[in-house]
Amino acid sequence: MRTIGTIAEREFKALVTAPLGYIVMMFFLFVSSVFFVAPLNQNVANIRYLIGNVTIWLVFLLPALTMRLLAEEKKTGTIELLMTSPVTETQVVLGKYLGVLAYYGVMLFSTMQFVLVLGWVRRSGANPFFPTYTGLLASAVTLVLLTLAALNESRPLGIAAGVAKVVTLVCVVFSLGQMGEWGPAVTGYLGLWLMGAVFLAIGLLASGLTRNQIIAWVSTAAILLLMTALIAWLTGNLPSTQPVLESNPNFGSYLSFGGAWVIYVLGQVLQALSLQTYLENFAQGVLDIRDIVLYLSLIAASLFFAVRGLATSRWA
Amino acid sequence: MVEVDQLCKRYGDTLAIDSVTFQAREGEILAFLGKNAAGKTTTMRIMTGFMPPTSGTVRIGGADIRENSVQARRQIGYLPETAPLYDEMTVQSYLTFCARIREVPNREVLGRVERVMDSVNIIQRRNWIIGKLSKGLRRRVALAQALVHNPRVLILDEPTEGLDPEQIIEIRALIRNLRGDHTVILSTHILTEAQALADRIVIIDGGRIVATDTTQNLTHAVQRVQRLRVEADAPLAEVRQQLKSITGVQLVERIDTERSRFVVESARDMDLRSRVAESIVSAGWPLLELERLEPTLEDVFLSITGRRAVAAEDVV
Repeated sequence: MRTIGTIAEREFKALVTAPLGYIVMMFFLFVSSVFFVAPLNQNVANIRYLIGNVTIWLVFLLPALTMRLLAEEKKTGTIELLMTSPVTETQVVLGKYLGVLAYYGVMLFSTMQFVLVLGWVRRSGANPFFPTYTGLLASAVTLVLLTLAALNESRPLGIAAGVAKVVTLVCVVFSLGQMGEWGPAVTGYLGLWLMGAVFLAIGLLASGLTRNQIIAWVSTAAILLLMTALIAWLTGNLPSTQPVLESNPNFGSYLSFGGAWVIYVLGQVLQALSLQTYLENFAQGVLDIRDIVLYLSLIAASLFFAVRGLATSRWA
Repeated sequence: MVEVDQLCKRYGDTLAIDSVTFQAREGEILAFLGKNAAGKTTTMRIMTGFMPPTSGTVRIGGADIRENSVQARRQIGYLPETAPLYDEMTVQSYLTFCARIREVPNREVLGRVERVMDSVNIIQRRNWIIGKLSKGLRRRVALAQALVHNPRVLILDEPTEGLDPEQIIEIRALIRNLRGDHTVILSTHILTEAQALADRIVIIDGGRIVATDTTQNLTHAVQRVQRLRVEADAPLAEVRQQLKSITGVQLVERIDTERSRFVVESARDMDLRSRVAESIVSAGWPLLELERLEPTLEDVFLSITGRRAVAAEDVV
């Protein structure tokens, strides 16, 4: 357990101390700000628009966080350090996954400002200092402290960052109260976090299969694109109702009936694999156990194969 | 302490190492001597559990590296051929990370890191980013990484490779200090290095072990003649004539184009030093040099493998 924590901590720090982590974070904040502000201009104070549209950007941004996880270690030879230490493959994979997942958590946390602003916008008469301004300030303080704590490896700073984070979250809860209809925001964030977790797990798997980071990035992005946008587009064009056999069937109509069934089943299977569909459920405040099960099983399967991949390089 | 038994590794059709068998005893320094691509790194990678053997077993302190891998790896400190360093970390945080994944108890981590930085003499660079260190310093950090958890077995793959003469002397002194407390297995293609450091030498050539013995025994085994180096301040031809006339001298070989320097060979058990000195002095010439030449590992290597070894980079 301590080993997993140590590896996760190193991974998290590597993202905070390297430019790549900041580039991804900056892009993410820029894109999500655009999708937050755009509906505000049309007098729609809602976070659903943001959650629905930011996915396609995560498809390209998150693989940039995961591409180096194992590929870089293989390239520079640091994998020899891990593999000859008393560390199991499972500990390596879980540690790296938790580290990058924590960084994604910080990325999502840095968008909490939107919720704070929304609460204020929805109830214009409310006092702007609490929770909105306090929350915004606390959120900014958290991120600065967290960065400093990681750079200086300082425990007190880390604790201070944690306190600031709790303050922010308290303010966010009050803001949600002001918003009135707070369910979709909470489940939306949960969905976004879970979906990112799936993306990261798939990215980690891809990174373990190559020593080239570019290949890891491109293949992850391609798979994710397939699982979100492409499937959504395909299922949109496939029939969503069961085919019916004509009343007076001849041979040709049997053939087309069979063909239609194949296409229908294909559409249903694809729909079941489409991450986007489930995310829309989350964004509307629908918490379906099937969605969560799909997400968790995708994560578990990806991590399992990542562990197998590492073990194969050692023992096969 | 370390038992390697019948180790084979096959890459496709080529046999990289073939039936490699040797033991290292508690507290001794064992040098693994061979040319480049003789199978040294392959053997070491298998011994540390980084790579599986095609057949054969490795036991570290009784634990099999495949059956009981984590237990075996717990006892190993390994310096790979390429230093396994995370360039974005500082020296101290890197060594702390290494200590923690090697299961050093939390409250001992700081002390161990401190001590190891002191012993490889990088304590004044503790807060430097590893990526900014020179090659020699990187090598030292990598060596510190192998020592930080105070392992019973140290496996060092070409520990002085790529260092300047001063650094080589430093690292060798450090390794010599480890004798007794640690079992050290080091690989090298430099004959003088094996001679200077090791209690016993394993000579590997073309993936096979061709000799295993102490330095003295190995050299004694190939010593067929006794050789002296003589220099006198007198004309070349006269000195040669004088040397040839000494009873017991079998061969006189000129080793300098201008000065009167010769190598004199006699039977293995015959010490001609006093007779040579007497002879030169009685002829009225100043004797400038008289030295008994010990057979070098170069000779050992030659006589065993029947081929020339890589030229020794004589620095010590």
